[in-house]
Amino acid sequence: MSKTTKTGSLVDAKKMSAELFTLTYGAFVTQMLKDYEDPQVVTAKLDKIGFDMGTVLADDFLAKSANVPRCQDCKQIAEVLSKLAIPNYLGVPATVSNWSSGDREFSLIIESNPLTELVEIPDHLKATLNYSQVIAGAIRGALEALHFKVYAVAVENASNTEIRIKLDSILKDSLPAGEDY
Amino acid sequence: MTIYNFYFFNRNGKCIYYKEWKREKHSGISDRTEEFKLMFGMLSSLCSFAERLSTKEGQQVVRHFRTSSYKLTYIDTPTGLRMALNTDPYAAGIPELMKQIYRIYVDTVLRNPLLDTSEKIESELFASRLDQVIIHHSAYA
Repeated sequence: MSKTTKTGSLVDAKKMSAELFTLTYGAFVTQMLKDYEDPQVVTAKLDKIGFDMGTVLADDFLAKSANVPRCQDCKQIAEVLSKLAIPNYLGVPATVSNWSSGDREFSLIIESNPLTELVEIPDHLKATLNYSQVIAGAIRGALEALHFKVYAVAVENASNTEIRIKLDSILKDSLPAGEDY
Repeated sequence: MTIYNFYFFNRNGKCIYYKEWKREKHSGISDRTEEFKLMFGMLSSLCSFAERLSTKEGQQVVRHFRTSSYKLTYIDTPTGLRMALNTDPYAAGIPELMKQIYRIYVDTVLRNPLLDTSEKIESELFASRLDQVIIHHSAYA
């Protein structure tokens, strides 16, 4: 996920046009659909790619934003994700809603998801392909790097993208095995 | 004022970068990797010990320890990276310097998708940028 911008001229050299990004991602998913032939496999692959991106983005995010407090619970995670992380990397805001199972599960709603700006998912793929799963994967990867194990699924609604996040457990810092400190 | 040496550990406790600028005396441990292991062990014990002994609830953050001749400044990130930098006891602005090193690491190593981040840092760009910030820091002279 690279930073996106919508201004035409005078663009920051490090940013790329949102359209190019959307088209690149679209071409990429299409090619994967051709190569793997099974939309479910594509969803899984997108999730994996996102996960790998997320593990890197976690550090990138921390290095850039100096004063983010350490998150202790889901509410804080949701707040940082929706107010800082997603606007930072996707260029669009997200809202938090649909809390359930004792504040361990919530949805992030991305109103104008740049990935799907030019995309209409055909009916036969709707059930099996999670087009924006890469975002969900990235969130999962980033949170896992911060010792939160979560499940994340991206669902395309008619007008927005919903990312459903469920906190599973908080991981312990792992020390090298067999060493007694 | 001087900056002596720098240790960088990844989340598995492997020393992925070590550099010394001025080190007149060595630890006497013949194997470097053994020294890294001891360093990592000491740092993680120090952190857990500090937490145990704390008289208040809540997470403790170890920032540095100081002897009569040097100061070890330590930071860790929520992602499990740990850095330790030895300087003379009165060097100032070292925590900021270490955050700068963290940013260099992110920019030159993590953002390079072809590098394996679990291995030792071989990036020359990282090495040269690190050298730059250390040598130009006010505590280095």
